[in-house]
Amino acid sequence: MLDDPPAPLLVAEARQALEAGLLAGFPQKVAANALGIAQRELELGPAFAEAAHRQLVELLGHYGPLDALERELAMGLRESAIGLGGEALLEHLILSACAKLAVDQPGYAGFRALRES
Amino acid sequence: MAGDRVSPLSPASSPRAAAALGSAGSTPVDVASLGEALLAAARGAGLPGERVENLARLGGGASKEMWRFDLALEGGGRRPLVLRRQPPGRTRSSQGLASVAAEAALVRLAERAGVPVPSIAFELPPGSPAGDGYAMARLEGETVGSRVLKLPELADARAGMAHRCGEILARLHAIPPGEAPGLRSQGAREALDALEARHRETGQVRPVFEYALRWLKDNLPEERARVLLHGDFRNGNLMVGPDGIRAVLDWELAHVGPPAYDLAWICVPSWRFQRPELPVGGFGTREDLIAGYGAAGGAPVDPAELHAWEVFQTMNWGVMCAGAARAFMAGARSLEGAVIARRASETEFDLMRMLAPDHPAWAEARRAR
Repeated sequence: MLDDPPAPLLVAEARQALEAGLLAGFPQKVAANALGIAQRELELGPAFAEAAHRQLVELLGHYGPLDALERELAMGLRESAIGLGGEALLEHLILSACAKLAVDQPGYAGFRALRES
Repeated sequence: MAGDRVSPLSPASSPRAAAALGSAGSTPVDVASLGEALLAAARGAGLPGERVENLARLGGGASKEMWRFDLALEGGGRRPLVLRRQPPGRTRSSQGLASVAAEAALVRLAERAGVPVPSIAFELPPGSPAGDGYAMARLEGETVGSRVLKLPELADARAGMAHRCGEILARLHAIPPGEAPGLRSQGAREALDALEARHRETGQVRPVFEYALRWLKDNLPEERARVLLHGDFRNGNLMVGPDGIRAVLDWELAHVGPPAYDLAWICVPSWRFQRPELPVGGFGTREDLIAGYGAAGGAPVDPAELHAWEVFQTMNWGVMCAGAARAFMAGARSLEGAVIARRASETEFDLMRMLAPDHPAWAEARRAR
């Protein structure tokens, strides 16, 4: 459910940059940022995937691998087989967007504002 | 100063940077010959240049190079300038104008219409060894979006800036599009088709984007008019001083289309940085933006239409981030690219905030963390 590039590639890229000799300042911030995403993916990813899987099974009404269910949902929306107003649909889209953001950018200002509201 | 923009968020906050990832190589540059080519171009354009001095590459600008230099004039005096160029032999992105030099003609047109811009000094002639580009006035001011929102000395400027943005866009949109020949023209339906095609090209499974596309097909209105658009009008492309907006920069995505395209782009949540509660660039309200637009002669703005275009533009930025993921996975490896790729999720979050603001799941998300 999380986006590319996945944690191992983020770590590999950061490691390579460190080995090549990172400049202080912006490049170091970017590397730390990439490692932070990878760390949160390892810590939070499994529980988020489990929750998303549960929501999708309920939403689509049958079992299957997580990526297959996500594809089915995307295709159902694309081909208008699924309506836009369903409560369970909106709940899944909102919760999975928040879960992804908690990994990718927990400090995103709009996200912080939501949690502090 | 124009182009002197090394932002802590520079690659991540620049759509073009995201689009151009992997294509920006760094070739060694012979500074002396670049200076000679600049002097020849300046003299060819009728400027009494004697020498090019203090020529140095500026940071930022993943898709175009920026250089600062002084043109020393015959009989004394000097003009502080910035070169924006694409080195010879580099392929252009398909989204933008036909050439970098063509941008200069547009900037001149905007200046005549009363839009603040860095005045054009001269264009590089076709076949110039310096490449494709132009030289413009080197202005002073802040362009990094988060600093525009933070610097205490810009507090007064921020207060009037949403209104001013509306005025500037109204002046730009009043230019008859026919005066800028050669620009691509794209109405609402075509823009939506192009957005969907770019999303499909990423090959990614994104239910939120599918949801937004469906919603847009039902809710994005046909345009009532097509106007000359800046195409990348946002906090980050505005040079700001204590007196307000000094220049609108980066015209390479200019095209012709619905006015709401520009009005909505500056309202995309990603450009609000640390101020999500102020929809216009993190510094102002939609009401001020719309009032400024009207005050300078812009056509009335329908809030529902503006909202629909904000959804469109938020997804537009999301697809740019998703494109960075695709480029990375296809082998164009870069740390910046990886981090931009993982910003697509911020747009999924913002899209759901816009499309289902009152859903009870938000309360659950709030409690979860």
